[in-house]
Amino acid sequence: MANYLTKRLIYMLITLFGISIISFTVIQLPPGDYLTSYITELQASGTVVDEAQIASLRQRYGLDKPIYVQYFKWITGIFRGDFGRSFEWNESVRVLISERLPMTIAISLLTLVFTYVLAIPIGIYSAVRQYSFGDYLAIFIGFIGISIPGFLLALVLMFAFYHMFGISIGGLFSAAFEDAPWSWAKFKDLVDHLWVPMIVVGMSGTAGLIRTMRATTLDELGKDYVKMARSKGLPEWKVILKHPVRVAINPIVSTVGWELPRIVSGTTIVAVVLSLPITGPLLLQALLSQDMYLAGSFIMMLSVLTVIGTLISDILLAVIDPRIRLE
Amino acid sequence: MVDSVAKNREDILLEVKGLKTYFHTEYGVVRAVNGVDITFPRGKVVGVVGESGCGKSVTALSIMQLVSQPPGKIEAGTIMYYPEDEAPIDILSLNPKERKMRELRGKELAMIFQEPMTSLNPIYTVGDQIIEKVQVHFPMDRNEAKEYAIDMLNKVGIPDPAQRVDEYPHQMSGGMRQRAMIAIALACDPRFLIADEPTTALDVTVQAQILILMQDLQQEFGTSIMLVTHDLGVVGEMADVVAVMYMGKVVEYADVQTLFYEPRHPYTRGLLRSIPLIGQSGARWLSPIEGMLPDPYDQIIGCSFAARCPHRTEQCQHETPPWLESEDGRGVRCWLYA
Ligand SMILES: Nc1ncnc2c1ncn2[C@@H]1O[C@H](COP(=O)(O)OP(=O)(O)OP(=O)(O)O)[C@@H](O)[C@H]1O
Ligand SMILES: [Mg+2]
Repeated sequence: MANYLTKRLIYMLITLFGISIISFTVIQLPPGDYLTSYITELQASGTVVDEAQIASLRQRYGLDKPIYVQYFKWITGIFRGDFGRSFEWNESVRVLISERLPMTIAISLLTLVFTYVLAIPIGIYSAVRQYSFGDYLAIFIGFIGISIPGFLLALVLMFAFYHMFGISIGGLFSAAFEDAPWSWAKFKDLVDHLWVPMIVVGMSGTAGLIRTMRATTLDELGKDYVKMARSKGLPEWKVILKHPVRVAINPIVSTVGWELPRIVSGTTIVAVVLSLPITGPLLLQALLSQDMYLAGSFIMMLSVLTVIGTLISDILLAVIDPRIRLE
Repeated sequence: MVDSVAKNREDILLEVKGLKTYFHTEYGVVRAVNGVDITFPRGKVVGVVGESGCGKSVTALSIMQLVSQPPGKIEAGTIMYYPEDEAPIDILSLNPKERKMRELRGKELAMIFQEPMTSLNPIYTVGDQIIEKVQVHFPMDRNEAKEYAIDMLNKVGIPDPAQRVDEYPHQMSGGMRQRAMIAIALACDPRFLIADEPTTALDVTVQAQILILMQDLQQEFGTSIMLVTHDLGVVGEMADVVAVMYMGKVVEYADVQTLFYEPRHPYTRGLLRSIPLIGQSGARWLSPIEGMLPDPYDQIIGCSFAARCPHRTEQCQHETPPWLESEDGRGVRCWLYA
């Protein structure tokens, strides 16, 4: 077990190192840099741009150095907690991220819990009562959940709520609480708003998970060890939950970590539609304007989440499955 | 001649009559068990033999009410169980999921499954899989149940049972797994044990060990056993009584010696002739039964063996032969004896 963990940890560090190089390079790939987009913007608004001024800016930001020097500066900075500056916001990247990251993680985790709590029991029910009315209903809802894109559902919900009740369900807070300090009332306001992104973002994941849970449970239900469990005289519910479900749930619980980055990136477009103050829209903007330290740091952040998620998955898998733990 | 066939009611532990179990699949109805009658005398071993697919396992599962429904369905029949000091019970009248059936399962009726590889749950220790059964039927706490499990593993000849109890199935060899299965089945002292080809998945030396073990345990506990196999050698070694199955029906039922020395049904005679004879120009398969098994989806008119039978008459091809029972308890399903 200790061996297994050390191995995973080493892989994790190598992966992160690779990702940091690739993401930094990819961000630099489009022609030009932040300053070229900045100049185009200035010219578009009719401002005359002074060559000398640009050269000095380029030097100040280190944009005149070769790319590997820039990478080195950035990556060593990260170890000191310095993620560089955002050109566009003229603000340290760390501040920008720390404003939005907690809410991103909160929404993602909530969505994750929502997805699993809903999908696992439905999937089990669907498998145990295969071809019943409830099973067909679950399959039908599952298809809809998978085929409707999240942003469309978000738009429909926003329109419907505005049209019917005259309330806006965008954002995470009502206007009154937007800048207010944290209080019980503000928290309640947040909860009132949270369910929308939770459902919208969680929908396709839930639908997919129902299908997986149903299929894996169905696979296990016919196995001999289930008959064996019945032959011992166990009550039926105990047979089902303790045997086929417990085996079928293994791959699902153990991939919980992979779901996390999927949700984080899945939220971006929904967050744009619903104007949620989370990381997705900020990253999108940073990529568009080649705000490289901000974009790079975000991507690193998400990669760390992904890799940690995978590590959690690996550990869970070892904990719940003796065949892996004892290998 | 040793006579093991039950003659009195009191000698019978379990009696299957007119059992029909069908599978309703997409492609049609499989009449897997199509009129089975078998009597299981108390404390005896009944060998059930027949070619692959003739319905041996489905008969066994029907007795335990473990046939998966759907696609399976028990269409007709009675399975009477005669406990020593209680009123007889028709197992088929019980709801498979309700308490009464669950109390019979494990405590009175137990089963060793055909595949030791897939019949143990890979994610629980062998001990857990015994303990879970013991705790359903006996008022024991976990520690007592674990002691009991270790004791059972010891009885079935697993070395170091106190360590093995905490091992997972994948850490054991095939023979050890089969012993573990037997330990699970024999926990709680069932009166009736179904052993569905308990040794086919094992190599020959281990096969012999397991059979000897089962024989010892049978003698120690006085359990009645339904021993499913297609190995007539095993039957000769272990069984007191034999039921020969063909295409979902029992075609002959007799005392093991009677069956071996005076087989009646042409199919039984064919089976006995196809045993390899050692010493006669090496081991040689003598005249295997001609012809192929018919398609399981076909509904057969007349005797199901007629197509392959050397003695068939006009009647055999049109009328199903009745079950003919003689006074000595042996039975045959063939027009030759009508
Ligand atoms: N779940 C099922 N669905 C459909 N058909 C089935 C099912 N289980 C068994 N059958 C069919 O029932 C028939 C009898 O099967 P059974 O398993 O009882 O054979 P068997 O005598 O035990 O053979 P073997 O010696 O190979 O174990 C076969 O034709 C089989 O295909
Ligand atoms: Mg079988």
